Amino acid sequence: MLGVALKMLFGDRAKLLGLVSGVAFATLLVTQQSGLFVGLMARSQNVIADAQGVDIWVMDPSVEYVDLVKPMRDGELFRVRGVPGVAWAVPLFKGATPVKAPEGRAKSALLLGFDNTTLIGATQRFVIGSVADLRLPDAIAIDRVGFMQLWPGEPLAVGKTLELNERRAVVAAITDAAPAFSAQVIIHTRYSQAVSYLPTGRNQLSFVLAGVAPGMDPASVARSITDRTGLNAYPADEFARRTVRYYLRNTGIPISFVTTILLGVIVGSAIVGLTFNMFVSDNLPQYAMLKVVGVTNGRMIGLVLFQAAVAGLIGYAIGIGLAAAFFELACTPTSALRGFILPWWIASAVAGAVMLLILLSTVVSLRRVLVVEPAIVFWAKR
Amino acid sequence: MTRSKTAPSTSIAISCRGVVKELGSGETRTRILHGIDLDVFAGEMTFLAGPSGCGKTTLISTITGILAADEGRVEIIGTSLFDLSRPALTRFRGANIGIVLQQFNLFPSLTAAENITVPMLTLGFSERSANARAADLLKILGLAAHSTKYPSQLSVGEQQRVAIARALVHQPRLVICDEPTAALDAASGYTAMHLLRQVAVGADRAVVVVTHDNRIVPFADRIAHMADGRITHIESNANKETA
Repeated sequence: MLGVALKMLFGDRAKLLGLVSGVAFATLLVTQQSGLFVGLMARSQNVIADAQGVDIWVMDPSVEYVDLVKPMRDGELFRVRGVPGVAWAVPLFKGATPVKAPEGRAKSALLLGFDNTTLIGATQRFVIGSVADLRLPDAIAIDRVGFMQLWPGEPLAVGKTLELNERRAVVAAITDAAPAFSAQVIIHTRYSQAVSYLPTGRNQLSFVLAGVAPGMDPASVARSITDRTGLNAYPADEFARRTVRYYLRNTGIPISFVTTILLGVIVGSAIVGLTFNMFVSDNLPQYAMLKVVGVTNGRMIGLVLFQAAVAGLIGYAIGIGLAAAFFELACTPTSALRGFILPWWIASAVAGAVMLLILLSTVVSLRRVLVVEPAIVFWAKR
Repeated sequence: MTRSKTAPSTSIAISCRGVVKELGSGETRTRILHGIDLDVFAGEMTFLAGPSGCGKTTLISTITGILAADEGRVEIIGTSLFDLSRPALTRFRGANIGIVLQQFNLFPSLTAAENITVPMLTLGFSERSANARAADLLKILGLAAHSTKYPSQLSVGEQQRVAIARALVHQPRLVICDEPTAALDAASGYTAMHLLRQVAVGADRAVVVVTHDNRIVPFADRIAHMADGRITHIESNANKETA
């Protein structure tokens, strides 16, 4: 009987097209917007994620997230090093600065300065050169996309000079650093050089990055740091979550995305609901005839839901395919959307949501099928 | 011969006793059937004749369990329809009754052969056996060459034969035909009734035909005449045509 239901569905191509289009539209919009939203939120904590091997982030008590910097006194670094359970602690400078190429192109850059000796916290992803190249005089590492924006059309190359806050810097390496939330160009350099590019007064220390002794729990060591120094200290993963949570609570980003996602769901539901209702209306005599030949209401529910599920599955496949194509084509390593992906769990969640949408959209239509009197096959002629 | 019956040739296929049916609601509620008593016998083709609006279609809707009688009792091949739950009644109808409609009500997106298989598939037969049975019937009805055509590609007469095949495919004990020749010209109507008589009427099977088409009267074994929701008289057909 499922074959009969399937042929009924495919026999009405105009409405099948409407159903599939509605589901595909909702799937595309919801998936694309969810993917962008998740990518954007992930981007907000990329600086933390890129600092591999760091167990604990320490900061001024007023700092709530990674993009808010309240410089601390340099002496705080030594206080952190003195806390039991801390194996090592290094400084991190983080600031925003204008960057200008000699040819005249200027951009806003995120400037990160890492411990002069260990360079702990710097990205490990290098396209040209390595982290060791940052030890060269006036050396900076610039991310690939930043390089392409400052020198468009030119092949990636080291040795170029640029101005950082009107001071000379030499590109010694090119990174593939994860894109930051608030800047187009990401520059890595040594701590001492960073503070010279961007003097912030007496206090320079943006964060202290710490590692815990073997066998120690980062969360409990972080609590010890807070207790002993009065600074805020969080394990890296918790600080990342706090940063994402800050953006969720204090910016209009979630509202904007959720509004678009809801619109996708509402418009998709409306299209699917109305089209399926029309499909059922037009096919009521056929459903009635099925009842006449012995199809019970219980089986009828199965047949109608099967028809809706097939239309939903085709629409979902098209929508998710288009969304995947979007992420594949638009989120190239050199584009503004680099790093944005379509996570499997969004695809799965949208699949569940689409099935729910289909189910809700068919409820009203299903009722009409269940209450249709098979007797209409006799009276339809009149 | 009002409400009387002629001597049964075999067993009773349909027994109606005091069947009352009202349609509509409130002030517009109208009594359509006024206490119908009727027996239909296996091995016979019984016609229900009468003017439009006399209740013929309401009666066969009630006989098939599609409409529930408000009063009285309907038994089909020994089973009281009132004793069956709604789903059981639907299954009973599917298994034991074949229905041919004036407008055929074929599924437009199914081929002729696929249309015929629907009742068997509903009963849980395999697609293979349903296809084989449909092929046999298409051959018998002279439609073997049209098995893969859709209803829109068939003539009216061919569509009617497909509808007849669909009503017979699961070998029901009772076949109900509602104005089966109303949409057909004289020749096609004659052919359809001839086939119906040949294929549907058997020792353990009964056929009820609702019609006002006098041209097909010779096919009837008996004719029950209706007027104003009542059986006025039942007569044996003296002019019956032998198949």
